[in-house]
Amino acid sequence: MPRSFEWAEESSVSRALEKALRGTDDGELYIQHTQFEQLLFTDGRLISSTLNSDTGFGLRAVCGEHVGYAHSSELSDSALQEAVAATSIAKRGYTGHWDVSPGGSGQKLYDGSNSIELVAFETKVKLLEDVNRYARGKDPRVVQVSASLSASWSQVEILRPGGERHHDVRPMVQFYVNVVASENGRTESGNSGAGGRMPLEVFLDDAWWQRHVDAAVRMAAVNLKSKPAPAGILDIVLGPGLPGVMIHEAVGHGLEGDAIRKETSAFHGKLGEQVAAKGVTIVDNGSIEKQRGSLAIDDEGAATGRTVLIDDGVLVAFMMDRQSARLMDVTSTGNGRRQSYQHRPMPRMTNTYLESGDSKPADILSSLEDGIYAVNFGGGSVDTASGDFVFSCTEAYRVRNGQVEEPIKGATLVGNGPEAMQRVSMIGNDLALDEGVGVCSKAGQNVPVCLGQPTLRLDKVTVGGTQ
Amino acid sequence: MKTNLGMLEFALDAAKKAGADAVDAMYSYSSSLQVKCRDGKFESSSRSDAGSLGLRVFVGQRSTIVSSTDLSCKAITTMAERATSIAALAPEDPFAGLLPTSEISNDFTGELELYDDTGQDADRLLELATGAEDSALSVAGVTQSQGSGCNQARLSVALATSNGFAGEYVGSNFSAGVSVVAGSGDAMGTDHFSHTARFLEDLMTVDEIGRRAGEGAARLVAATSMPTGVAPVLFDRRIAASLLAYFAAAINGAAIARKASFLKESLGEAVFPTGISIVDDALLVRGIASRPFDGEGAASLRLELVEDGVLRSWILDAATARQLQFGSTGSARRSATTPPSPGSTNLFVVAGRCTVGELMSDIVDGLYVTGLQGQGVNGVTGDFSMGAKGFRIQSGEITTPVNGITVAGNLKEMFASLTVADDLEFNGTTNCPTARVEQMTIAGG
Repeated sequence: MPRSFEWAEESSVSRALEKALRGTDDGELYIQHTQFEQLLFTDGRLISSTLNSDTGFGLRAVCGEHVGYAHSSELSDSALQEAVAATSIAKRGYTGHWDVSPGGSGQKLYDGSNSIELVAFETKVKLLEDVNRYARGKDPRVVQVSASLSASWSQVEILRPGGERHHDVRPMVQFYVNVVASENGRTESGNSGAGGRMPLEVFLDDAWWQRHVDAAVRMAAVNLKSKPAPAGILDIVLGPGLPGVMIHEAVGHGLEGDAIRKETSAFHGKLGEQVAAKGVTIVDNGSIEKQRGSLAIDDEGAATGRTVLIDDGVLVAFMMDRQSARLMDVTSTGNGRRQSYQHRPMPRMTNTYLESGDSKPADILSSLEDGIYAVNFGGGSVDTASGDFVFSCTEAYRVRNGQVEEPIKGATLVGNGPEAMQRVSMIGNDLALDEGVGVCSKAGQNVPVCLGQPTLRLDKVTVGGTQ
Repeated sequence: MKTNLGMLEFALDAAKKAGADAVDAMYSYSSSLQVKCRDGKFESSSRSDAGSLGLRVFVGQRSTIVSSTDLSCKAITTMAERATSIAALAPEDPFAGLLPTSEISNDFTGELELYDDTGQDADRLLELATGAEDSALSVAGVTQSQGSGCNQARLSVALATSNGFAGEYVGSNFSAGVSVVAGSGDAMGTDHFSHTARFLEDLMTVDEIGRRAGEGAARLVAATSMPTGVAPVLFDRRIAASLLAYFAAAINGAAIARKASFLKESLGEAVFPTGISIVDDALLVRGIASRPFDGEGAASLRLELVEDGVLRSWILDAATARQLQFGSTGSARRSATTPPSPGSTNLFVVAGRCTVGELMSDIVDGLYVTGLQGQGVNGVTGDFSMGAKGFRIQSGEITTPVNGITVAGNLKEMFASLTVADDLEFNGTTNCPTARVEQMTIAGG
């Protein structure tokens, strides 16, 4: 066993943990060992390869609304003693009632093997060299190819007083390719990526990575023909999968338990209300096999699961970690996540998506008289207090009289979460999740997530173009 | 290995014994304390204490980086052996390599004043955090706090290379900020403000930090949309600094070497109007990004990136400098866990000569942007399309607040018409006075 787990066996550790959490409501010692490898290929060559090993612990003490957190990359009794002293600030003047939450789950959502060690370095290099050669040969307009391969393998152990222990071994892999194409003095780009909690071997199948390179080249070629996007208010059809970033920004962050309990969300006070059009059902589900956003247990040791947040347009639940659940008198939904041992957990999304409806995607498109069809997105953000969200298209088309016409350049779409969700007018039957590229940032912590939705029609969205 | 440099020497030796031709080692260690408060009470504290050692090993022109948080002799020796065996398998990169020996600078003698040894005290940080929040909540119209925080950090960096560089330094960092909501429901304004300084005595008073956040939120209450159209746009200092950051990304050696920048043909050309000067100064005393040497051991420099509107230099590290056939500009950023890559340091647009009022006085109908949202910037094409909020400018004055609109254009054209006021203020690493762009497309109601 790596040193982290041997250290956890020592009686000095359990004594320090008991002392740290005496008088608190909740807390834990989170020990983590992570290996991370990344290869970056660009401009015709491997420009970097890195292999990081990061081991440490995080100690958390929770008293009501107060949290004391301390972490160290030194696994030693002296570092733990300093952490115990530092977290005691949360206990000042407080007498707690220890939260004996059921923790753990028997879920097996991914294989705990370590792709970093199991696939030879030379094989990874060759994959990227093959990607580069194939992409450049695919279209004479391609002038630059950037590709990356990354893998991480993380062992997590969560200890609570009284001998409670939870354990998880988490793999993650990601492949990404970006191509830049140039024609008649104009330069545009396209990208594609995928991954998840699966073995790296998946990437080694030629057909698999070629599909992604083809997608990136196709997107760059489409963008070379794109015209300036219109500016104004238009009806939008969003494609399935990655455009689910809209759901993540418009609704997801506003339904995280901490924003609700602190009353800093636009959805605060709306439980039981119709916050979206009928037919809109939005779910957060951390227990889907192999998905990038999945976890067998969350970072507090609780079981993850499928939580229906909005059911047929009605707000029915929020995403909870243990602290928010306790303060709001509900149970944790297994959404307590943290970026690493260096961060304290808080309510975060896992795999968040809008469920399929009944419409055929072709019918949704042909219903659009004058609007935009957006199929690829670069990212988005939201102001949770107001609900105002923004997201940027990287591939979109003008639609007139139900016909998909010219591609348009990078338009930004803005809206307000609660308002926008009322204007979902058609829901397709083709739910898809993104292929494993999502990163969610909140309070300085990044966690991997998955987004998804079926083809959707959204009426009257403000489009930020130049025409 | 009682000292950091001693530990680095041990690591370099281990790599050479394992067969490395060249190697450098970086150790970085940070310890910080952050306290957050909400509604006048302690909410959370977070103490960190973490260090990592990274080895960059070369076997000929082949290289790799291995890092670890385990600093035992055994772990370092294993790391050195692993790195050397991986490097031997890596493809050759003709541009990779340590900084040329002739460019190494071991003799930095100036005093940058990077470190304030004030002890980390949670109660002091709590007092500052609650002070900022109180101040923000006392601004008329502010209805709710989203929380405030105060953070203190100490960072130490040590670097040694097999071709003769060895150096280390310690720095400190204090920051305080608060986020508030004014109004409620549909007529809501939100804003945050924070300030960062190397020395506690230079930190803006929490009264001022709170006042700026509170006034920023209150001014945006009852914001509406505005008509779609084309107009001149002003960007407040904070937002203008984000435009400057896009400029830095567009002249970053890594983007230029890959030909993936809308400014790739612009060296020696007028990118901005005459009168605009942009400086990157790694030697600014007490500068947030200042350091005595860069991530590869090159001398820190003050770079005149833009002189009278003309682009004079890329931002380069050793590898991009080799590829583009220049010398390194001492701009290598590096952590123990990542390879060096070019990056700006204390970057700013030199203050202009007119006031903010004068900058907008001739605008009949325009926009003053105080917030941008989204990731709608394409570094390859310069296309820019972001969610925005701020105020209408009508007949030369700021009038009603606006929200839920977008502003779009192209950065190359935006830079070509950029003018600035005289209100430069330093907060963080990238700074710009209030700026004006002649024409952007605004999409609204």
